[in-house]
Amino acid sequence: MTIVKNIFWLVLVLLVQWGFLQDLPLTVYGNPYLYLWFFLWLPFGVTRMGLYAIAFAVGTIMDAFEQSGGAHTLACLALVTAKPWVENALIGYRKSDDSEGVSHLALAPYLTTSSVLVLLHHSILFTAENYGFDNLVLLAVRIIVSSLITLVLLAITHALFSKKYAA
Amino acid sequence: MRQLILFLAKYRSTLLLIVFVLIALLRHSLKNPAAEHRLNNMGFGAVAGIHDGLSSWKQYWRLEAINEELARENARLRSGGTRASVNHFSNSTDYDFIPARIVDYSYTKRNNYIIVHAGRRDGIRPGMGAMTANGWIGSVVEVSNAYAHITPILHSKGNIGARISEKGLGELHWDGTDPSWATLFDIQRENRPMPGDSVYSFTRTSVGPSTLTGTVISAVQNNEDLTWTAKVALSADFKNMNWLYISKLKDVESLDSLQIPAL
Repeated sequence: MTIVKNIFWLVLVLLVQWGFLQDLPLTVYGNPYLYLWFFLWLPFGVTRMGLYAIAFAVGTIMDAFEQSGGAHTLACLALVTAKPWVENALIGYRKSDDSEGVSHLALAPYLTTSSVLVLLHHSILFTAENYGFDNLVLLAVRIIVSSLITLVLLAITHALFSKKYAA
Repeated sequence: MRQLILFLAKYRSTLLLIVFVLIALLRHSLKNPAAEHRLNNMGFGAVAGIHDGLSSWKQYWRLEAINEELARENARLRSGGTRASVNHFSNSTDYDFIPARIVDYSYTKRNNYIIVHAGRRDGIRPGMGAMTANGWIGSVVEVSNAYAHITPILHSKGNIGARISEKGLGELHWDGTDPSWATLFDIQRENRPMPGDSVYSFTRTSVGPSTLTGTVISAVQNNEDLTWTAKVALSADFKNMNWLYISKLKDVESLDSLQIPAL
């Protein structure tokens, strides 16, 4: 049942990403990637192998849609690798059978955790897309602007779907 | 053997991560050359089909822009067949121009792409050129039965040859910032590009006709070899595209027969 629910959320997130957000004429400096919400929604209890497999699958889907080679896959793998460490450092110890994820936290810890993860993801994504560090200033602007828009959208999503936990 | 199994069992998640990262890196590095690799195009047709489904929905938001673009193109066609008012490429009789609806495109990335709803069954092959009514777009790199993938100028490997009339050839390069302008390198020192000069694409004959690509905004001279580098405003609107034309050389067989390598 949990798996069906997870897949439902994944499809929903990807549909919102591609039906509304992709190529939204907000700015020429990058693109918001709301699909990261799926990783924040994943329960703390998911094993590392599970996380890697999910990240690989989601990244591959995004890459196939965006024609971006392996940039999303690399960024998603980095995100899930760093995720347990970031959670431990910022939120503290959690029971391993916990069925709730980062998105079930109150707004403040949710935003701090997700801002670290989003910044990491976007840095790797845009650097990979750029094939290196050419045009460093533009690259930095792209990473920061996209991260900010993504975070605003993540905060809105949190307010919509995690109402009972929001502070 | 037992040791090996124990080792694999102990580090299985790390090993899985390494394998995934290696696959992703391989896919990513194969994407870098201008020529696309088969591995990246597995399932291209299916992905393009999903894009197509979503685009009918997304196009709804752009109806106003589509309408304006069509009205402008129509007005230009009605205003007569002089070279100045009608875009250049339609005067070329050596090519068929296949109209193709754009399914999905991007302009905010370093390496952008365009997917159009016209493919092998419409006679499109990799290597053909793509242009809108306003100017040159790019060239086709991958074709499925119903869809084609175009690499526009807005790509790190999308450089094309470009020409200013009577001032010679240069190389047009997009530097990854604003989709409305690009840089033209290597114009000979005696031919100073002036603001307002038209820049035309200059590709192999089998790709497409020489097509308006942009106009020069400003030019600076290189101190070392005294060549000119010009800033060019791209005439095609990469932010708003709905239809484009793909150029197909009519007499491709006779061109091919001339290109048999000397024995």
